[in-house]
Amino acid sequence: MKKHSCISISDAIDDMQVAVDVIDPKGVCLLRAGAILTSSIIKGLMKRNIEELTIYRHVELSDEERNERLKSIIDEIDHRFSKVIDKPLMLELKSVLLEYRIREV
Amino acid sequence: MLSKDELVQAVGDIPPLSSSIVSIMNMLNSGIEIDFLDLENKIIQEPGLTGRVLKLANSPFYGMTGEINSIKEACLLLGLNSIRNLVISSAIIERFPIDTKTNLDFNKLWHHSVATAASAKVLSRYCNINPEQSFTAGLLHDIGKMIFEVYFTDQYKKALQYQNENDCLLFEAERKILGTDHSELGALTAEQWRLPENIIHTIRYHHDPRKTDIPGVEHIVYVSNIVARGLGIGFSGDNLIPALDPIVMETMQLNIDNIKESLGEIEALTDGFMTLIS
Repeated sequence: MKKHSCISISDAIDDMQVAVDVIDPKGVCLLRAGAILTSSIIKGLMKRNIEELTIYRHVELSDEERNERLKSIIDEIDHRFSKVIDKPLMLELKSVLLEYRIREV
Repeated sequence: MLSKDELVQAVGDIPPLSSSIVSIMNMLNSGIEIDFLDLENKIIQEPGLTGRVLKLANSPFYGMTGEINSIKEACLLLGLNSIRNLVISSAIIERFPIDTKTNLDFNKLWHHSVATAASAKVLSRYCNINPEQSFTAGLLHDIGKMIFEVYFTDQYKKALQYQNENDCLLFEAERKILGTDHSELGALTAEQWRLPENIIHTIRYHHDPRKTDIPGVEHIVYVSNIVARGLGIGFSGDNLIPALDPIVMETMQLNIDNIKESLGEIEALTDGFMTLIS
């Protein structure tokens, strides 16, 4: 489960995901929301005088909570696609969305 | 059932956008060189609009953070196209506030609309279509549902009931019970409000993109509506997904991989914009 959190750039580490576009003091967009941080990106942001980042924090779930959440996601997506399961393009889209949602848990 | 004449007459009874908003939009659409001071004076006559325009202008969506302190600055730095989109978005959001009490949850409906807008902005880059126009059109694509809820409450309740009992797409329930759907009502109202042509087209054809000849913003919003529903962000009246037309995808030169690599950014943009309108 993801929640927003504002952190100091000095606390940023690899694999954190930015939740909001990173804009430098001159108004230039340096990094789009959703991007995954690497050490070189973090260094680059520091050089551009970025002091804070809004990132996604993952909330830890118990095994039972995780399983329930996974089942809920699968059931929701199954229902959403229930009227279009005979269409190959929609099956492809369903697979992509399922993978994306499950990855978050 | 609502006949076309009844619908047109009913749309005629919907309160227009305020005269200052119309005046601003006319000024921005006139093609004549704009006096920024004059434009600023018109915008500041609407305090709610002014506040929202400045708030949006200072958001990461427009690349500025706390730099813009006046409408004139916003106009100079963002450009007239951005200001036009900001004025339209702000006016409609103010007309249908997020906490409006209706059968359909407006908070969730706006959430879906914002997700569609965010998706349209991100996916438009793959197709060389203006991302800001795509965003605004995406934001407004479902205003027909809000108009139904506020101005045709009793009739719309029947359509919502039919959707719930039959687990169908809401626009199918609307067509069955009301003889029309939110796309047509939204487009007729947008025409009355003299919104830009591409927004009217998008609202009218966002479920039937092949009815319009030229691939553009309408098609991006059609795809984005489906992506937003797929992500399950917000609620637009039903929990189903319409089929994505492969021919439209091909026309737009979009593929599933483009969507896959955009999902993170779409969600993040959606979250950010929702904090601005909440």
